[in-house]
Amino acid sequence: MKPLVDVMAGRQALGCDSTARDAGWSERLREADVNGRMMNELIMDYLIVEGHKEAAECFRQESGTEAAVDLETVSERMAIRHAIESADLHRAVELVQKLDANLLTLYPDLHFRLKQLLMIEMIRAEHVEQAIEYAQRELAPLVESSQHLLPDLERTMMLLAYADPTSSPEAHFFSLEYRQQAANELNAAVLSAQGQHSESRLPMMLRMLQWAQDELSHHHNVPFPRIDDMIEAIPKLTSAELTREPA
Amino acid sequence: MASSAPPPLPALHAPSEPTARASSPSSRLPSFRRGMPPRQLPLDRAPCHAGEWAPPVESRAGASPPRAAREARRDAAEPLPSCMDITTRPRSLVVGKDKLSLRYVGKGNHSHDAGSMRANHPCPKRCSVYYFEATVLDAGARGCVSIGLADQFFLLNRRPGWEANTYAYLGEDGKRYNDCERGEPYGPTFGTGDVVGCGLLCDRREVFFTKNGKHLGVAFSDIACSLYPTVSLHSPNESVRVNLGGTPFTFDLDGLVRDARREKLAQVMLYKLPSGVMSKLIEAYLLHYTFDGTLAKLRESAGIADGGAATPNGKGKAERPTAAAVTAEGDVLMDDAGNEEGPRTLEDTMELRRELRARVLRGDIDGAFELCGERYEGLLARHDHAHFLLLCQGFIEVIRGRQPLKAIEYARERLMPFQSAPGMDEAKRALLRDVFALIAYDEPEGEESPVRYLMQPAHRHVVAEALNAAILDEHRLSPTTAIERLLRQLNAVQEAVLDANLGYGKAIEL
Repeated sequence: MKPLVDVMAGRQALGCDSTARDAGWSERLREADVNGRMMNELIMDYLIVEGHKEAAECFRQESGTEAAVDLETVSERMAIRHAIESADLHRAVELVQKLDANLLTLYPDLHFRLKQLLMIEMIRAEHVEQAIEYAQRELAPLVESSQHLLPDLERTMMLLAYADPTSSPEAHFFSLEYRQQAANELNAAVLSAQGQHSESRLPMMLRMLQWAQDELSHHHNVPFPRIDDMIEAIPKLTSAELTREPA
Repeated sequence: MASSAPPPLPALHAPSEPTARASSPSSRLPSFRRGMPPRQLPLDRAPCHAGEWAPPVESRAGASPPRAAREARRDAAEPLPSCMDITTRPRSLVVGKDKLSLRYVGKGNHSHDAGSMRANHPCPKRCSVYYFEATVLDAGARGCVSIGLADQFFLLNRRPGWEANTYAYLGEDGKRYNDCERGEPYGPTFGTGDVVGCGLLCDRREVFFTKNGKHLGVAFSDIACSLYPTVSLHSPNESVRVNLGGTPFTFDLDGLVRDARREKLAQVMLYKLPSGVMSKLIEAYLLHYTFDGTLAKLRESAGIADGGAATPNGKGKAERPTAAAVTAEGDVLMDDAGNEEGPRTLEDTMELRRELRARVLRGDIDGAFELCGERYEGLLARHDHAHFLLLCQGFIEVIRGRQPLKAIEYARERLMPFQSAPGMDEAKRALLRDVFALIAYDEPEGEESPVRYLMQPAHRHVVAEALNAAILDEHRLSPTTAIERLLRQLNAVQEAVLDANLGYGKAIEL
């Protein structure tokens, strides 16, 4: 309980030397249950979820950390991502069906997204008639059952109105970023269908760090050395923390 | 050089402060304190490399009391209430064999003949919700059944809710009671056949009640002490059966737990990571621990040319930083923030650091000394922590080779001079004694050797990492990685939240 006393003492005597508090905090940091094996497992988890199959394999050899999943499924997942990102939508759909035939039924929004991307590619290739026919046949029925997709459909249809859609205000539909976003969503869906977290644990822990720091400062009103710059990652007692009045 | 040994922890000050690395000498060494055998070095800072991994230190001998106390708190399974505490049974109650069924046999005609009973343990604190129920078998003459929580000092011939640190929901009037004989409006009345429940939401220290599976809302908040599940009867023939989780609850507790978790997770998800942070952190980690093969593969798949200019091939993820960004901001620097050499140096020294690590890990200590001498003249003189560990490791490897005479010679020549060196503190002396003790055992790595930890592969990792950290220190780079510091911070913050919340609550598990 000593560090708490330090923190509390510092809190009661505001403006006083903060060394005692820092000492208490360093002790807490030193005690933290962070060890090499755990670190390596977290890195492995990151490499797998983010789809860096070869890096994961290499890391297994270099660090002796075992992978929690079959690394082969990582490459299947990545092949899907790659297909979407390189606008090879037919292949993407094919791969998804092969990996998990029910996936698109389970996630109708993703199904829509893939078909939308397919239509966008038709527009890019200036196959206008084909695109219209495709929208009527494939996209419209999906929107009927999921009304919230209607704005997306409308904006996609707008593309047909521009003489040069790739330089229109809706040009972002043709961007890599747009396809990457879809690829990310699909990736998350595949992972959760495999019973894995769609985000690796490390980024989650860093989000949690930000949340917990705010919880401690704002909810519990305890001054402590914060980390705000995650790249630098050095806890600092800011002046805002020093002058924080107990609730 | 600001200091001679890498501090085991990130400094808590701004990097530019001159005192940033001045930690007390004793804190620089892992604790070599003498304690009960077998002893092991903490491996906290030594991620392992292929093939050689000993399980992490489970029992940390020689830990300081506050740490031990906190660990005890963290690890000790809190005993769950399992039955009522019949040892303190008031005379007005009879208790069934199940220790869960109570009947009132008193007169119930004044305020000091209530029949209250606590469970055998307090509600656990380190959970998200604690909950129990009671079925009213008979509302008796006046239906004065109440359910609630009370501290250990509560007198059992009184009703819970009448005293400080007691909280209750009363069947007769449906009111909630705390520290007062007069209640406040709260819920419906309850009687024969009803199932009432009482829950403690630990994160918020809130108490709520239920009736027949329906949540009645928050009744009290900011409870501040250990509380026992408590029921109380106060009119003839009243009878209840308490359910401390032995049979399924009427209320959907799992749903509540799930919702609480979901809500908390949703709050966490509102926080975003600045773009590129994750990949920079990973890169810095791989560079630090010289996992260079992994780093190369990672860069390949992320579409970043090795160390050089960015070559976006259109397949990298949007958030992926360019190599230029990595170089510009890169790893943590311990000196002025303007210094941009961090990642460059991490990268340039990687091959050497990897080779040194490899030599230590395969027991080639002479080779490690040689390489240090060639490439970093005076490195070991400036880092007596690493120097000392390396010297001891040399001795250990001779012992491993079963050459006791050679070991003694080595000790006389190389270790003894160190004994009077200025950097010698109690921790180092203790390590030295342990190292010498190896000679006394036929099988120094055997079960009966209290110093066998020195012979384990894990110890080589400790030494290798000390050497790695020394070189990083030489370039004024942090001896720890940013990710580790962040996770330590997470852990410390979570513990501090728990302390601020009086020990109540539980961090989300991922």
